[in-house]
Amino acid sequence: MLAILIFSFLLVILVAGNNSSAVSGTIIGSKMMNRYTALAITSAGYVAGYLTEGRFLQHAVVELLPFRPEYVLFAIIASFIIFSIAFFVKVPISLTMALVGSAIGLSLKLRYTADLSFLTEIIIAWIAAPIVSIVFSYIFNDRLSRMKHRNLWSYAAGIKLMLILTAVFTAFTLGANTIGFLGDISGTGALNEVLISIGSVIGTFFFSSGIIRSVSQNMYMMKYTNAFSSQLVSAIVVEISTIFSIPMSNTQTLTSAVLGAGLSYKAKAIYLKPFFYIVIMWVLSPIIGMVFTYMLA
Amino acid sequence: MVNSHFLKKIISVGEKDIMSRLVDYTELAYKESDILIDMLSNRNSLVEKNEEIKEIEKVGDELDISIRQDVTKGAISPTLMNSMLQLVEKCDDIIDTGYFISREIKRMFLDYAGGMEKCINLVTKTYSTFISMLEYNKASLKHLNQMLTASEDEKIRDERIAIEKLEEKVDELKDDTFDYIYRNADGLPYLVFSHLIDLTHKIDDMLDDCEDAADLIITITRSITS
Repeated sequence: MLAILIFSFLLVILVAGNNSSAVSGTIIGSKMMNRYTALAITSAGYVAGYLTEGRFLQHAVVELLPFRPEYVLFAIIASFIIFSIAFFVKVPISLTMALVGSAIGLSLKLRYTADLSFLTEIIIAWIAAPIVSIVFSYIFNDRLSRMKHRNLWSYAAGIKLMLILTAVFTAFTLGANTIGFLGDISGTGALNEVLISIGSVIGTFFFSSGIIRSVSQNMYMMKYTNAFSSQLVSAIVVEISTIFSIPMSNTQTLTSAVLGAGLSYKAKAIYLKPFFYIVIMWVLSPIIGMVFTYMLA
Repeated sequence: MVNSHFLKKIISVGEKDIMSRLVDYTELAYKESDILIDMLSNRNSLVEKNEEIKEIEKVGDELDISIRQDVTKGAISPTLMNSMLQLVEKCDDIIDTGYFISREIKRMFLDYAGGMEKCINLVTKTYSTFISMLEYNKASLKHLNQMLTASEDEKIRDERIAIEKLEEKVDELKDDTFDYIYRNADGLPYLVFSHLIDLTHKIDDMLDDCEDAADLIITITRSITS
């Protein structure tokens, strides 16, 4: 259905733009690369992730949205409206979570008895992912910062290179998971793949500037070691979720990993307010998606 | 090749590049201290020596502008930018203080020669302490130079400890100098008294700046590795 494809395309633009600063904020901020090179790498990562692993999320689409296209359109439109408002008023709503909430709202409206086991898996993953991210980021960052260095400048050069590779990996996992989920909702086929890929590139280049989010700000202002450890842990968690066909919020894992890395230092000067704000939005995102879609459908 | 150039640019460490450039400051400050020691011990050709220091200060100012531009444009973590700028400022302050001291010596001996002659013994004795303090400053600058070029954590820490010890020695000399000046303050012209007190403070400031620069290097290197 063309309308679903169009709205998915628009959502991909917003998602790609919204996440670009979190993906490449550190490498742009520390001037390792100029903005356009970093964004080109980011969009290449999105497209590569979507095209190679995006299909892993098809199972989630089948389980969560087993409805006729005209009904699926309600979920997509509702998510689009919610995310667009959040995007422009700069509230960190998770599209992945809002979209899953929309699917639940649609099931309730259509009185469809969904397979609760998959939904349970998703909820468990959403609870486990931040905990895993905090713990592993804590351990990894602690080990990394305790390492003895024969040559600190070689270490600095190495970690800078790793930061770039991790940014590419983060973009890849985001392309596979969030963009893949949207792509799978829009349907399969060459046209879909081309449009979703184009949407990823447009979003990265034209909707990434001026987006100031708690997470991207954190990434921008982080030191090399903790930026690397938190981004790597977050990307791995999202990648594992993709393999299990679980739609996972990149913001959720990254925020938790940033917190974990921060906690690993002796002097814990962490500003917790943005974290709590994001936690509240994690809870509210699926509820807003569910309620709004229920009313819209 | 374009690709190797691109890779080289990516893995170049901006912080290291800035540190290497700051070595010029330690060399300038070392040369400046040598001239100051010469001014304090010989008191000949004060105008020419002051001009030499003025030239050094000018080079230092140009270096300051150029390195600041590199810091703000270069591949440096935003979290370290402030510390880097402070480090540049501290290094430049050492040179600026040296220039202040040189002008002060020149001024006193050329424009207030009569007053200085009245208490030349006390001045000469105090100046010999200043020379010792400047010798410590030179040693401290050598350690700072080593810190800026070192690549091992341990070496950087050791050099910082060495600077701290030198600064403590200069602090003791400063206190002794104040005691000596105050004990002999009766009959000392006010301008000479003020001159000696100022110089004591300023030479101590040079060592303080050196120590502050060393602390900033530690902050920067720790930030990179942790």
